[in-house]
Amino acid sequence: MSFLLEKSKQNKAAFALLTGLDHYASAVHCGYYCCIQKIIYILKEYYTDEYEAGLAGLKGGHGNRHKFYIEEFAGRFSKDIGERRRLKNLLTELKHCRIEADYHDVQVTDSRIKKVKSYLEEILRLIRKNLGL
Amino acid sequence: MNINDSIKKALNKIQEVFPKTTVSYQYKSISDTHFIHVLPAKIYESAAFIDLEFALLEEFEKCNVGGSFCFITVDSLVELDNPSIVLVPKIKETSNSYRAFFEISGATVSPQISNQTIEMVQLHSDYPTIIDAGNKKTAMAA
Repeated sequence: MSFLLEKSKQNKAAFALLTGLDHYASAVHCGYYCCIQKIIYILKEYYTDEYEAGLAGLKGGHGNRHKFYIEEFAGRFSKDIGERRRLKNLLTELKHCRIEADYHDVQVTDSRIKKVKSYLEEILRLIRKNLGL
Repeated sequence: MNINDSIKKALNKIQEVFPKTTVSYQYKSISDTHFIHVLPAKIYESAAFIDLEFALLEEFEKCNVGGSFCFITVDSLVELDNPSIVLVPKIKETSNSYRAFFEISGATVSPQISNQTIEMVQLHSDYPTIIDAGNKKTAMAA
């Protein structure tokens, strides 16, 4: 198995563990990276040319790189326009939540972590459904 | 056209196509994301709205607005705590006496009636009439 996919799996497990310990902010971090690592793996593995060309043309900082991963992947992973739109919006929200959880003086509440969990499950379900991964 | 104009134009377009929507906008700099909150969820989930969303995203791209765009609705993970723009529905559902609501598509009328009473009708027809059909009241465009 790819190291990146293994890291994604580990982050999913870490999300569950950290949620159980009430370490919600760290759990959000792991939940987001579980998704992003899986997406990077798929882009590199299945859309290699587009991925490399896209990265080469990127301007700006690290944030733009994540925007690229999300938009490039969401734009390709399904033939269903509704699923493409859904995945993009879910990931963009989760990205925002991760930044807030990591860097800002904001509490991650019980209700919020439940939503993050449902977003994580839905993102992984959509990927599994369309790509079998 | 500057960024604000592009955003306002997009929000107005949403209301032009879906006059019953409430549209709120907030830019969140921490993730460089433009959030557009759309109510009701039924419209947000509709195929017609999804098509419009993609068309607007293309416009933003053309206008070089920058950042990410994210359309959200009720129960989303991200909430807008301080929206800079809020557009309320253009079709007013006025006053306490409002009890009837009609969806009209061409000549078809589908009423949702509460308390079996119609006190206000807002039809897109020039000459709407109300008829009493037994216990149920039905509105028809003349």
